[in-house]
Amino acid sequence: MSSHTLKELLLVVCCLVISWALFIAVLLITNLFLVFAVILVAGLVIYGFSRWERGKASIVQAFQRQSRFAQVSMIVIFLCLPFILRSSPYWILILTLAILWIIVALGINIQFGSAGIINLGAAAFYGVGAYTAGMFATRLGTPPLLNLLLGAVMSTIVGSLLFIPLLKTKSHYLALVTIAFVMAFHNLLNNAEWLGGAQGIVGIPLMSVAGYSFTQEIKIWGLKLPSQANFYYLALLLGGLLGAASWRLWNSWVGLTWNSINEGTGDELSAKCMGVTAGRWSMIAFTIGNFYIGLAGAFYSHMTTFISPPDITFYQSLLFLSAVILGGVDSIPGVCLAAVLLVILPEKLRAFQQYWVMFFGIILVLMLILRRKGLIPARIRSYMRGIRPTSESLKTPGGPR
Amino acid sequence: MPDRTPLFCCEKLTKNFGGLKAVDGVDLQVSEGAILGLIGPNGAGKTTLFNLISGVYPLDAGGFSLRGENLTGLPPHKIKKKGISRTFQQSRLILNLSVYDNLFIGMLEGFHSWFGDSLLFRSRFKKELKKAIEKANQLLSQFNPELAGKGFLPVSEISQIDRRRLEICRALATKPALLLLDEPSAGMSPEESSELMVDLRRIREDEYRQLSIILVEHDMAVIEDITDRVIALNYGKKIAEGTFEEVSQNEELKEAYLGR
Repeated sequence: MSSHTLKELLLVVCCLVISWALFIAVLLITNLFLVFAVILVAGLVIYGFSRWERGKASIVQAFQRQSRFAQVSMIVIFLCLPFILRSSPYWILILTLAILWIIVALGINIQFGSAGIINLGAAAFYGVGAYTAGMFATRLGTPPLLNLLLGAVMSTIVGSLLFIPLLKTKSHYLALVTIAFVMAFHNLLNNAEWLGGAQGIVGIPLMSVAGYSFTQEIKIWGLKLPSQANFYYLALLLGGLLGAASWRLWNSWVGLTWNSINEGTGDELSAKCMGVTAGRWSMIAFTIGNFYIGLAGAFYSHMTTFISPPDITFYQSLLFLSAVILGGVDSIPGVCLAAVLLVILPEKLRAFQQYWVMFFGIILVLMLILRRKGLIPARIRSYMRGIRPTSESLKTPGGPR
Repeated sequence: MPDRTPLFCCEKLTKNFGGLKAVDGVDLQVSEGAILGLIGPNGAGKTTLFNLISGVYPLDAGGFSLRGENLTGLPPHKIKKKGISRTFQQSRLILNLSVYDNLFIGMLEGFHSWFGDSLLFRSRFKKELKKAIEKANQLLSQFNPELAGKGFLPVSEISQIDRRRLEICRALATKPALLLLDEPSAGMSPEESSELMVDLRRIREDEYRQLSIILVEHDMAVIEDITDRVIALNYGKKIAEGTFEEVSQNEELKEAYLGR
C-alpha cells in the first residue's frame, strides 16, 4: 500500500468520523442551544470546504478512488447506529422513519428527478400502500411481509390507472391530476366507513417476519438493543436494496432514457426523434416510483400500527417532493440526505413546532436562490467503476493505475 | 446497372396550419448517397417539411416512403427506426449530461442491456457500455479527435461547433439511410460552418458513403459547395429544382430572396 493510498484512506476515515460524530451529536444532545451550535458548526465546516477548492477536490478524489472502502464503512456505520443509540429507542424509531422517507424520496426521484414527471400526489400513493397493508392485515390477517408487497403493488396499479388517460398529453397535466388525486383520496378516506372513516385503520399488527415478532429486544454479544432496532434493520435492508436498485438504474441506459424524455432538462420531442418511446418510458418511471412510495407506506402502517387520513394530504406530498428539490434533482445521494434532514430537523426542533412550516419555506426559497442544484448536485453519469478515467490519469500519460 | 429507383420519395406532401398552407403539395426524391439542398426564404416551409418527414407533425395529405416502404403516418420513433434521422435547428442537446450520454441517446435503440442487465447482470451491461464508448469515440473522432477525449464532460462545457458536431454524430449513430440536417451552420461563423462542411464531406468518404442527406441551409456558399441537387421552396410550394446553377438562375427564387 503506497503512502498515497494511506493518505486517501485516512482522509476518508476522517471525513466519515467527523460527519457521523456531528450527526449523532445532533441526535443525542437535548439542549437546544447546543444543537443549534452543532448545526451551525456543521454548516460552517461544509460551507468552508465547498469554498476551499483544493481541499474539496482532494476529498472528492479520495472518496472516488477509495469508493469501495467508503461504501463498506458506511454500511458498517449504518449497522452500528442502533448500538450507539441503544439508550434512546425514540431516535432509532425516527431513523427508521427517515429510511422510509428515503425510500419515498428515491421513488419520487425516479419520477420527477430522472423522468421529469411531477408527482404532487406522493402522499396519496403512500396512503394507498399503507391502507392496503392495513386492510389486508386487519381483515384477512395476511402476513406483514406479504402486505408490504401488496401495498406496493396496489400503489403501482392505482398509479397506472391514473396515468393511462394521460399518456397522450404533457406531463404538466399529470401534475394537476396527482393534486386532484391526493385531495380526492383524502376526502374518500375521511368519509368511507369501510376504510375506517376519519378514525383510519387502528390495530394493525406490528411487523413480524416468519413468526419472529418485532416486539422482542435484540441481544447481541451481551448488548441489548431495544425492540425498535428490529424495524430499523428491516427498513435498512429494504432501503439498501431499493437504493442499490435505484443507483444501478440511474447508472444504466434506463436512467439515461428517463433523462432524455425529461422536459425539465431534455425534451420529449427530440427523444422521440431519437427513437425513444417516450410515453412508455414515462409510464415505467411513474410505476416504479409508485412501487417505492407504496412500499414505504405499507411499512409505515406496520410500524405505527395505525394509519389515518391526516397523514395523507397535499401538504405531505409537497414535503415528500421537496426532499428531491432540496437534495438535488436526479442526485441519489442528495435526495437521501435531504430526506433524512426533513425527518430529523422537525423532530429536533419540536419546541418550535408551530414555526416549522415557515422555517421550512424559508429554507426552500433560500435553496432555490442560492443553490438551485440542491445540497448534492447530480453528477455526470460514469456508469461503472473504472469506466471513467480519473482526473489524474487524464493529466499524466500512462492511463489509470 | 445500378438501381435507379430513388431511396426516398415524397409525394404531394401537404400541411395546413389553419388557413395557412405551410407545405403545399411538395414532391421530392433523393437517391442513395446524394445530398439534396433545400433552400427558400424564412417561412417557406423547410422546417415544417422536416417535421412532416420525421413524423413530428401528422400529414394533411400526401405520403412518403423510404426504399419503397411507405412510412406515412408513423410516429417519430418508428420513422427513426426505419432509417430517417434528423437534427434540429435549435440545439436540443441536454446540457447537464455528458457528451457520451447525449450521444448514447441516439444509440439507445441499438442497445440490449435494459432492466435485467442493469440491475443484476452488470457484467453484461459493462460489455455493452464498453462497446458503446468505443463506437462513440470512433464517431466523435471522425469529426474532432479532441472531442473523443471530452466524453465525460458536460455538454455545457464544450464549444458551439463541437455541440453541432455532437448533434450530427448523434443523428448518425444508428447508421441512418437518410439524414435531415436543419441549418447545421446556424449561429456559427463562416469559418466554423465551412469547417463543419469539410467534416461532413470527410465522413461521407469512408463509412457513410451510402448516406443520403437533405440539407436546409441559408448559406449559399455551403449549398453550392456540397449539394448535388437543390430544391427551392416558397410559401410551401416548390418553385425550382435542379443543380445549384440552374436553380440560382430562377427568376422566381431571386424575387423571393431579394425582392423585386
